[in-house]
Amino acid sequence: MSSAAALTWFARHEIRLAWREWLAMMTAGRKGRKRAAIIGLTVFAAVMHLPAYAVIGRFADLQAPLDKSTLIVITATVFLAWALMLSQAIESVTRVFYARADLDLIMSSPVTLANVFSVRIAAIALSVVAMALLLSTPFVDVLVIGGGIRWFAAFGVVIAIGLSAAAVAVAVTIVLFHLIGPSRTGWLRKFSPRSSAPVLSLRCRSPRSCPTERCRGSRC
Amino acid sequence: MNHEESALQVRGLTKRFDRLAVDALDLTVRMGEFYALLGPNGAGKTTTLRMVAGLLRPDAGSVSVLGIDALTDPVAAKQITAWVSDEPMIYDKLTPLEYLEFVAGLWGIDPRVSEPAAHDLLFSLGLEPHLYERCEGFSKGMRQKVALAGALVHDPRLIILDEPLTGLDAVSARHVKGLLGERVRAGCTVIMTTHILEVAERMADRIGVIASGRLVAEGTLAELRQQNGRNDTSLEDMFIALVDTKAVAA
Repeated sequence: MSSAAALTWFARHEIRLAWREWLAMMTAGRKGRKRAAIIGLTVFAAVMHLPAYAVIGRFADLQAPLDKSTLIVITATVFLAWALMLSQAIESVTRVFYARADLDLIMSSPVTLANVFSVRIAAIALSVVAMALLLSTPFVDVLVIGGGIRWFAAFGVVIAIGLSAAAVAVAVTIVLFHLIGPSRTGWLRKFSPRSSAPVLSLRCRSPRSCPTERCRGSRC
Repeated sequence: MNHEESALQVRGLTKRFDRLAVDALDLTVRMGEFYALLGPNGAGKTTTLRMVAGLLRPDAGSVSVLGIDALTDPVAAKQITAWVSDEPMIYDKLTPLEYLEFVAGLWGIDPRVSEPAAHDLLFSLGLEPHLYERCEGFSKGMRQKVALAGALVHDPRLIILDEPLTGLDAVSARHVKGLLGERVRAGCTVIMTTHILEVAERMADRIGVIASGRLVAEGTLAELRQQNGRNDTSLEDMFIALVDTKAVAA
């Protein structure tokens, strides 16, 4: 298998797993609930336009130059959205790299690890961006309806926030594991604020799934 | 014995975590042999096999798999090796067939080639009623069998199994033993750790006993009895005697 074919093949596998995991989460693992989940999501997206209008509707006519207080509100909103995405991205990193516990299988195979991990990181970025787009669409809709198509550019900002959150999440997770190891990271969880809970809930399900080799002794 | 005649040759293998887990271990497994590696908990069996499978980097020593230096050319060594852990990892959201297709893909095997082999393996392990069910509802024994089928789907020449029979009922254990026996008869080499000494006694061509990271005894059952000086003793008695002696010496 060529490198490109291998990447495509592994990406298909990742997308299939991510889709099935997401669907199971949305349907609570019950087969007959797929339609109910789709209807629920659609209704949720429609209903979200109301709070979106209440929160952001007055900004639809915003024109440059902006005053200081508006800039502060926008910056704070972007930072809050970024922090939430970071939290979700870190949860994805732990789930995809550690909770699945398939590193033994992958590492015992002759596959190129760099390819596998690249695809996984891309899949994490994609899932974070998809979720961000899903949640932000009602807000952007309100802005577009109230202020014109120029607000479609907000999707670009959302994508950029999602991608940077995914990149930081991967880096933070790797650094935490290398610096303090999974077991100590789990201990820190008790003192962490909610936004960082996913990072700090990292626990090595099995010493064998820890790529850092820190917990192969008696600590884990 | 040179590299070409041995399926696995380990020399001076050493690994330290908080304590010394594997201590300059020398081990040779012949081609087409069923080799059982026994030892008490924490003796270094799993760590040794994980280093052989390329999952852990040794601190010192060499590992040669069918003449391939597994440390300098791990990809070539992994191509002909299969590893099954005692905690089988299978994807809950895939069916056994999809899982085997994925594993075959990791070894670069086309699905059109791997699919018949996957069917045969799953049939021989008694999983035919569950081919299209997702693995999330499977028992530990069923998961172990799916993982074993996954390990065999790329037709490895060296099969490394860490406690493959743990959690299996009698029928499943027989399926697994039958399949491993078939592989050995077909020329594969099997290295297996187990705490079930009757399995080692009945199936293994040679048995190695490891304690505190060192090989303390090795040979056929008859040779081990001879080394122990008693011809009527069971493997369990010999094992306990060997491990106790080692513990006292340590």
